[in-house]
Amino acid sequence: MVDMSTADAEAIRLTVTGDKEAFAVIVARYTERAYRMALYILGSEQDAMDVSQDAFIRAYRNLKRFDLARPFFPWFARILRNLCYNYYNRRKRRMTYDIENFQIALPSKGITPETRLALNKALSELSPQDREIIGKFYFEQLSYAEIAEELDIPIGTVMSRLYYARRHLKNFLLSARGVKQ
Amino acid sequence: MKHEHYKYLLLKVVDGVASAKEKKEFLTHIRSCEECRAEYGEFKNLEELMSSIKLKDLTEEAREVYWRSLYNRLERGLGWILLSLGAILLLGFGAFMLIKEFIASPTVSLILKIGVCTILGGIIVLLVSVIKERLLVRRYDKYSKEVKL
Repeated sequence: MVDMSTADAEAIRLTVTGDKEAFAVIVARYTERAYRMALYILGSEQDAMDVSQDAFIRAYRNLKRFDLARPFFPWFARILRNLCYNYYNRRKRRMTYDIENFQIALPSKGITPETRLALNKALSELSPQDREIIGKFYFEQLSYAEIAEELDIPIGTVMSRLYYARRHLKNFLLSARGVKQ
Repeated sequence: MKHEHYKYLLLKVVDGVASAKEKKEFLTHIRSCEECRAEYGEFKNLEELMSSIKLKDLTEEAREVYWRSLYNRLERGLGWILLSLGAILLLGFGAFMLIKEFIASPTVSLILKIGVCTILGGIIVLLVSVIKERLLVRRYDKYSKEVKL
């Protein structure tokens, strides 16, 4: 009998033996994170749904090769990230970043419709790599060390990529607001 | 920004992870460096804006739909594989029988037979070439290891 208290390794072991309910536990546990990650890289709700589901299907078919001694999410996140990049590369011409996927966290600090529009445009202009690191830092609120671990890169590289991603975002934001630089 | 060292300090100060010593060093530097001072101000504005937005959470209903759709896709995956295999087998057998009959037919001229066989040969060579290319590209795809895990 599996439920939400079943550990990842046990649920995966049961899934490999053909228990789909056990896989449902894994999906339920990581749906939100997977969807959000795909959303901030791809920027479209529907694309994020499709690609994150593809990643779960890919993971499901390869669970036999998964090392049960390791945590599930970093392994899954690599599959998801690469599917997002492949998807983006195939469809980049028609993709736009949808600001409606965001909501204001602090109502007292509401942002104006013009700023929302400018932010939408600025986020659309960023590369998916920049959006990924921005997403991990701002939307998932991960530390430098946690981002380094997830992306398997040194902390110095995280800082450098964060610096340039924010710089790009800031410049795109200024240009979307019509400020000459 | 010209000063490589200060861009890291800027990041740490804006993100609130700089030590007292690093913060002091950076604040002293921006007193005399207009470029770094301007960038610091812009980064702080961006920080304020970005910390005021967040991604929408999935609703309970959306999560339910998500799992149902995923489950259906998992089940259909096997169906598609079986259907494709069956179709390939049937079509392959049908094509083989058709070509065999065509070549054996005494009413079809030799030129026509040679023409059709040449076209078929060309299609097979192209098909093999495309498959070979796909396999080679996959082998050197930098993401293939992760995707194929």
